[in-house]
Amino acid sequence: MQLKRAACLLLALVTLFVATGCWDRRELEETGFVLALGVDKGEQSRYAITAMIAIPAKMAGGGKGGGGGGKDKPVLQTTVEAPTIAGAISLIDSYLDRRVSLLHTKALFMAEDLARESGLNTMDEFVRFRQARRTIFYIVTKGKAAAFLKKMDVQQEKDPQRFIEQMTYNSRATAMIPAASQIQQFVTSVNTGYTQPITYYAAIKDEGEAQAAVPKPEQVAAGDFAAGDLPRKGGPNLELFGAAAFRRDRMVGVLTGEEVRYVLLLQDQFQRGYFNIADPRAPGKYVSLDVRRGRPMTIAVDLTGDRPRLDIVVSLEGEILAMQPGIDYTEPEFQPRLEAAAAAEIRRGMRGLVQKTQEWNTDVIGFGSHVVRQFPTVAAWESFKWPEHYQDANVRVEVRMTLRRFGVQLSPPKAAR
Amino acid sequence: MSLWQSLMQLLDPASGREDEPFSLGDDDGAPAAEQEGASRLMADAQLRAEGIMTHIDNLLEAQGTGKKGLEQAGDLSVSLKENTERMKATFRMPENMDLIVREITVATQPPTPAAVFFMEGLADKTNLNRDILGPLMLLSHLDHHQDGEGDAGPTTFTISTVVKRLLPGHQVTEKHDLEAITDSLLSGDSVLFFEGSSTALAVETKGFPMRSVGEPKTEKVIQGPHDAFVEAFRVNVSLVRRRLKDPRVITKVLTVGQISKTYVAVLWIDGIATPKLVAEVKRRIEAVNVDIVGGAGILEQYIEDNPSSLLPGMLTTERPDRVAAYLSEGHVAVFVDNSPQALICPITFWSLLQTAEDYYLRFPFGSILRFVRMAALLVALLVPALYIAVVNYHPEMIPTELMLFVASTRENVPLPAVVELVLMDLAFELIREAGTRIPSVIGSTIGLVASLILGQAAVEAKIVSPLLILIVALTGLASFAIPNYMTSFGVRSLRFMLVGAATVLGFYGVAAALFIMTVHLAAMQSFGVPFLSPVAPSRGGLSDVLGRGPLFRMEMRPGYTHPLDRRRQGEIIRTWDPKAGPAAEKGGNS
Amino acid sequence: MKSRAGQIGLTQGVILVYAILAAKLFIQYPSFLINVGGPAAWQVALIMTGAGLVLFLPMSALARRFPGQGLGKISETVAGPYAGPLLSLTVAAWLFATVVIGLRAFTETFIMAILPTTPPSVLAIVILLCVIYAAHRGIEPLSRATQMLFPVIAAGIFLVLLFSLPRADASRLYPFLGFGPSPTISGGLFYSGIAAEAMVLLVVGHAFEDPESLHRSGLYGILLFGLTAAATVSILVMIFGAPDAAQQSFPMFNLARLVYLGRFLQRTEAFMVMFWIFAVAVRLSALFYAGVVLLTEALRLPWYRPLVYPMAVLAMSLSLLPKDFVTVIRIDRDWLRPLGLALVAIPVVLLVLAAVRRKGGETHAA
Repeated sequence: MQLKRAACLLLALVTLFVATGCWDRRELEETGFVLALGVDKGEQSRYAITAMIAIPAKMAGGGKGGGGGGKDKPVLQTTVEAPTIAGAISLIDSYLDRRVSLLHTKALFMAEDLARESGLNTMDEFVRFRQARRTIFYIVTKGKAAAFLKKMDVQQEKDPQRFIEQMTYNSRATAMIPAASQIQQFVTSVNTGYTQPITYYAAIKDEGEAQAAVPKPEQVAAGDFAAGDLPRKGGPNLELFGAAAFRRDRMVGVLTGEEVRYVLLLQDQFQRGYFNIADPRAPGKYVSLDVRRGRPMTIAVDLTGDRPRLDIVVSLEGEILAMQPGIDYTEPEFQPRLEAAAAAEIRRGMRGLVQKTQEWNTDVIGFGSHVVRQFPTVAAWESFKWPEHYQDANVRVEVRMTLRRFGVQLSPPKAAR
Repeated sequence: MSLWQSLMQLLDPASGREDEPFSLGDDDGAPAAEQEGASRLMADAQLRAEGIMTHIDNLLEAQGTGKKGLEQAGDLSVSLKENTERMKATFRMPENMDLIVREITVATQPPTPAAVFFMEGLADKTNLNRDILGPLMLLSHLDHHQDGEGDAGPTTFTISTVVKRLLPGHQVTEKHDLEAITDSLLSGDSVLFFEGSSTALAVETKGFPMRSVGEPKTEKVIQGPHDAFVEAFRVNVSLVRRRLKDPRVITKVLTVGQISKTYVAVLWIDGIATPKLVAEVKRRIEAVNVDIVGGAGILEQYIEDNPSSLLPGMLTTERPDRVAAYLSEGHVAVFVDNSPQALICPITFWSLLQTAEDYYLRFPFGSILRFVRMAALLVALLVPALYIAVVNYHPEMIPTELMLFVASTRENVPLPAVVELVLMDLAFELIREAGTRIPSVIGSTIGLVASLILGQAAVEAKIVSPLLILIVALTGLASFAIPNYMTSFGVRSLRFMLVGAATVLGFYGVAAALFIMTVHLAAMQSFGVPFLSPVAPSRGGLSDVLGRGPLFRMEMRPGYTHPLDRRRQGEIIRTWDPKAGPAAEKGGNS
Repeated sequence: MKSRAGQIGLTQGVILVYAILAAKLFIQYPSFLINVGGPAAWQVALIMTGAGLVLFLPMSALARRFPGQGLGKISETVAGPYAGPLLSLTVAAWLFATVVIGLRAFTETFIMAILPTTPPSVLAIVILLCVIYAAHRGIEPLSRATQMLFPVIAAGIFLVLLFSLPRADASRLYPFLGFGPSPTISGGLFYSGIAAEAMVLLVVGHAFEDPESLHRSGLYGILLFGLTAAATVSILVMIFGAPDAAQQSFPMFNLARLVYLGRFLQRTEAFMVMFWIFAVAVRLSALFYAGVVLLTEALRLPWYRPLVYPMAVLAMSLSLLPKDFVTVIRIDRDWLRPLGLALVAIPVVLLVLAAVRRKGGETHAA
């Protein structure tokens, strides 16, 4: 009796589910996974949206396409004009057999001109739309995003999204790109206003094309250039370097690699990086330092005067990687000179950065999150209007550099003397 | 019949039609069978009536001999011939050839005719010859110096003399009625009837063919004893008793089944097991009113709490050391004759995941083994369902490269992932079932070949994706790692349910199904003990549940069995160990 | 009619209360707190906890006065054969309304979170099946099951919080006082109705081993939940910033979506949601069971089970009534929470009445 009842119930359930179908069930091979999106200004519509969709059979088909990439690209690319991303997706769905899904989208490439003009309208979709997630990388491209995606040739990796993801880890090693640039950070920065967003800045380097601005030697030494201007030949044609600085949701300028490094230093997010410091004892030559973060940065905020005043102390530790023959900085009497020279150079760079951002009037460094601690309530903070006050702020930086290690060898080779 | 002849027969209309094939249901138009049935019933009734008449006679005769005499007055006659006839009739001789009657004369003074009854195949013939026939026929005329009176010459015949002086059998009982005699004959005893006596003697000569104690089949261990139960419950009980040399160990033997009259032995330790539990076990066994009880697995179904649950309500084991350990913790063990397994009750969910070996290893490894098994349980239960849920509902959970790889392997497969999975799983179940039934010599080879070739061929034929083979194999392996056979069945069935839930509603379905399963487990009881204790409800002493703590720290018996004596051992066992602390000297022998 | 002694001990009681309350963290509840507290939402959570603890005290006092009895029995003894059942009915009605709203809110959450195109009624039916089964089995198996599932439920909360930490920016907790002390305190008191949900313990008081464990279960459970809620809202604020977090309809889900620890540990929210379903099922089952039992006692019916199915069907139909999710949120925030706070008055009234009419507690006077 009980068994019969259970069987009836089971039958009813099964019928219920079978009759109504499995709503959200979708097989992998019926789905077109968008790996990256590119957004440009559209001609007929507001945006021209480019989707890079994976072709799994080519992606893991077993090494025949490897190496050059070129023709046998494991992705297909298509561009549609649409006012929204969801609109673009439904349009793509209409001419692609597989249903397009943003679940695996890793990166959003936004054309620079669009970023400088457009507002949060596209961003809101990434916050609200379920498929897209806030962990998507936000990358501003120099030039058209569609062209960027098309030309992108990542030589080592088969799969471009993996290349991008790996690239973002470089922040920890080189400190020349922002610590993070996901939609989440962007949206939160815009919403809270404690700090202004910066994002990755990328460009495609065409070997044939003549370089617009050739960096000077000291710029090369410091990394004072942005994506597209890297002094290099060969390798993948994609460059992810420097950063795009925003004021609220509009892009206002490009930060060079060196400047990003100072942003990270002042955000206390700097991990380590190699610095080339002009040798104080041998003009025109460089000492190579591996700089790490020392004690936590301290920042004192004083709002009593008519200009907000910020006193910042940054302490760093250095390891000498290379010095010029004959000039031995391992000896105690010369160490302070090198330390002072390095500190002065970093300080000069930071001041340059602060000046530049004050001109743009955008607090990408995030001094606001220190200033806010001075206010007891939200009302008081909001009436102060920090984002407008940033350009008036008097920022003083002190850099303390300590040499800790000297590589695997003490003095430079004698023979070279 | 040659070919020609059969052809002839086919063509010959005169050969007539064939006889009807045999059928049990038809009465063949002749009432003979029914009549025969009736006559047998009549004969039975007559036999019983005769018995009752004799019984009344005996009772009348015994009047005045006191209470004992009345009790001993059975339905046996004083006439040997009459008794023999009745025995023969009871056992349907001569049609039945298993009952052997050996008529002898006991060489007493005066010589007494007697008859020895025994069942062919059940009684041990060496015993019979040496301890019954020999002494009675050859030696009973010797001068036994009875009672020290010095009367030389053959002994006078009385039943008590026979019992005390003439029968060297080690276990001799007096029987007064036919039913008791039948019972003891059927259990292998030899029964002696004497002329002029209404008392029969049953001599223990049990000697049926029996397997010797061997290795456990399903509960193998690497370290630890290798003996396992056999089909004779007496041997099984003795295997346990050898491990518990305590007079408080009680064996209560009950008989279950009207035809099978199976012995069911209930074992417990008086003073540890709570009497309430023992009474409940006995109550449930006594309530079993069926014709045959074939073994432990069958008795279990009659007495367990949740017969429709997918998990067992009693623990089946073939290892005497496990039974001994459980008895010492206040459990009750049930042995069923003819069954090489013991049943232990009450049990908890966790005991289904334990093996004897956990205790023979040093404690870190015992714990590791248990964690591995717990993981195996989760893998066996969940992995296929999670695979379906992830692949069909949440592909974002797989790292992109892996997802693209899975997608690329699925490109060529025309079947939905669920169908793939269920197909492969069914194939695996098939291999498993075939592997159990195939003669053991080729069994393992067939299993291996089948699984290898099936998997390879299925992938090459593009019916399943290679990742799926991996998942099915992993799941199958994990379900083998669950030590309890019944549990592994349960887990496998639950797995299919979860796959169904995952197919319909993804993670949501899996979670809902898991919730219902957990509530079901939590609501289950085994002989009054919540199935998930001692974890939920927590009854203390978790050191021997999920992991296995050091033995010298397990001072208390588990609380869920409500043992009369909670303390298992002294507070500090390793009194000599300086690490045991200063309390060691004091607490050691208290 | 003396039933057997209860089986729910301290651990199970704490876990039960915790699971009932913690399930709320997965819907818009944290947003409520952030809405009133801004960057200082954690202070709101703490004040709410403190007030909730105080409000629970009359309930446990009542339970001590009438050991081994449920709310239905107590109110009948104390307030008489007419007023007593009326009080019980009020509580039952609130519990039932909470189940209805909860059912809809969770259904919407899961539609958003993992099954966007599945009809809501299917999700509601499935979770209702869980609730019916658990309620059918009774509170003791339910609390045992909760104990078994507790590690998973806790992992569902704490792993999300833990994995989110790398993104957290403590400066978003400033300005320290949020919108100022008075909105913070009044907000905290407004949400202290969490004690009303702990009333489930009082309703099933007969299932507890002793009143002491009931008392402590309630207190520890509320305290643990309060701390978890404080941690949750502060991490939410530290990650999204107060303005963004206050506007989210599923803050915890959004948090889980942000988990990004390298290439292999990301996009795990679907898995976390699975853990949350357990908490939700426990919450709805416990509230539903308590409501049904209270209704049974108020109507003086001998056995609660016949009521389970009709009430479940009723809950199902009612839960589909609100037009959209925003309405559900409004009903929850503007009606159920304040009513829950008002409901806490019932144990106080009963306690005063009991003292005046000298009912119960004689044996426990010392």
